[in-house]
Amino acid sequence: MRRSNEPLWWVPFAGGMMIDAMVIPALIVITGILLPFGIIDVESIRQLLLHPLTRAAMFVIISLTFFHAAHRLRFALPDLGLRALKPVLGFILYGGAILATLVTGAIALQIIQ
Amino acid sequence: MQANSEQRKRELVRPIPGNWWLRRRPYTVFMLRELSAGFIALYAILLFRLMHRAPDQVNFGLLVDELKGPTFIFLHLVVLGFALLNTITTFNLAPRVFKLYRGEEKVPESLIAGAHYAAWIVASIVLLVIAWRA
Amino acid sequence: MASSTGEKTCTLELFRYHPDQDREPRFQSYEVPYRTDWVVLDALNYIKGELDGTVTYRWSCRMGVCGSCGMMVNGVPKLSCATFLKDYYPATIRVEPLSNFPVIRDMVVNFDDFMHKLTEVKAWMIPKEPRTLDEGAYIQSPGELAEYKQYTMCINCMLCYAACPVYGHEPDFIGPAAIALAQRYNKDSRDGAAAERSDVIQSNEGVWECTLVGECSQVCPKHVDPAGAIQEAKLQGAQDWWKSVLMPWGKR
Repeated sequence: MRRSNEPLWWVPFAGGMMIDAMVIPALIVITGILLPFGIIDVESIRQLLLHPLTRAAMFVIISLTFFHAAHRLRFALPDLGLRALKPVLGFILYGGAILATLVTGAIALQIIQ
Repeated sequence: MQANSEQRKRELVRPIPGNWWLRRRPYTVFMLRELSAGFIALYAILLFRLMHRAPDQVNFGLLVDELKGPTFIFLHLVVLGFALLNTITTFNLAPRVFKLYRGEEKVPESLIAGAHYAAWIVASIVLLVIAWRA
Repeated sequence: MASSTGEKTCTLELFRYHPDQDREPRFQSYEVPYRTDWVVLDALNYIKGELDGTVTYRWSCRMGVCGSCGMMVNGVPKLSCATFLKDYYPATIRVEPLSNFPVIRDMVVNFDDFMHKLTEVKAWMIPKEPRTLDEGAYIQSPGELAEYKQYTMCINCMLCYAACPVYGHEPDFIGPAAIALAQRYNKDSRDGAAAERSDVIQSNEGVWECTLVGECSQVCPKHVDPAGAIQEAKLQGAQDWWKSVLMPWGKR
């Protein structure tokens, strides 16, 4: 039997799962309560989001989140009934994650506005 | 026991029903856990939008204003629920993935899971402090 | 529930399928005496002995070590010899054949697929350095034993296959017990065939089909934790794969 190439997708999936587990709840508190209701200063956050380190971190979080979702949905959607899609789902979902990564990277580097 | 073809023809095959994941709680929690990744990805779109608009002060402010609305509050609550489901299931499963032995003794599962929860608390505090002191 | 003599009784609803007579399966109810120390197997033996000799099911040791009596009890895979009536009484107890396997007759399923998978993963010792009897025993430290001991507890009862929705949807999936058993030998310091077995379990039909539902480990009567075996294998497989991609000059 041939060894699978699945680890190519599994590592970003696992990384995304762990990062999401660690940082998303706090980020939700920040964007859901602290920011809109002025508990933290909007302008300060905006400046923070212009900092290259912040943008690098956001890029990693966003990209790995998309690989996490792509991998999980690729297995979950057929189990929910969309069995017919199984052969193409990987192509669509991982392709989408790669696309999202490229776009996010370009924005993070402020190449496109 | 090798079944001959006559016997095989009369064997009853029971396919899994479409609602299989609704029939037992562990399967439902599993399916919700899987779907949580999709909801977190939708939230990541908001993170992307905030980063995208940061260079433009006016548009950034407009997006932040939108966040005050009931739709975004509701969406944040929904995603928070899924995010916490992902956090808890990930950390509780960590001992399954990392099996560490000190000689014969296996490092207790609660320690491995606990270390993840501790890291989560530290990471969350760090993020909140960074946001606060920005 | 009481019989005409006032004795407490318990209702069992049994899945019935006799291919010579039935085109569709049906359920048949039986009243058995309710004894607090009875297990489902006792109830089945009572039914077969006193009420209906045509009921067909497997059993052997009646003490949870042979793995013969796996069945679905109220939708959950269980050993019938380890499932007490008192945990369900007075509710009706529904007994069905193990899920995800073809049914031959009543509670008896065809598990050829599982047997085939055991041979696929080579679930037996292939010594690294074979020793003759004269050379004496293979030496192994308690620490080396601890690495794989949990996986030796598997009694091949197949409850994990019945619990696994991945196996239910994809019969090609090698499955929890076979992978756990592969790991049992892979992690045994006396064994030398880890690369061969890994070629099988690191395939698309092996560990990479698993989505960590985790029910296999929940239903395992011997606490083998096949889910854990699979996740360990995934981690190892991922490391090996990325190493071979990023540092292709290293030997496997």
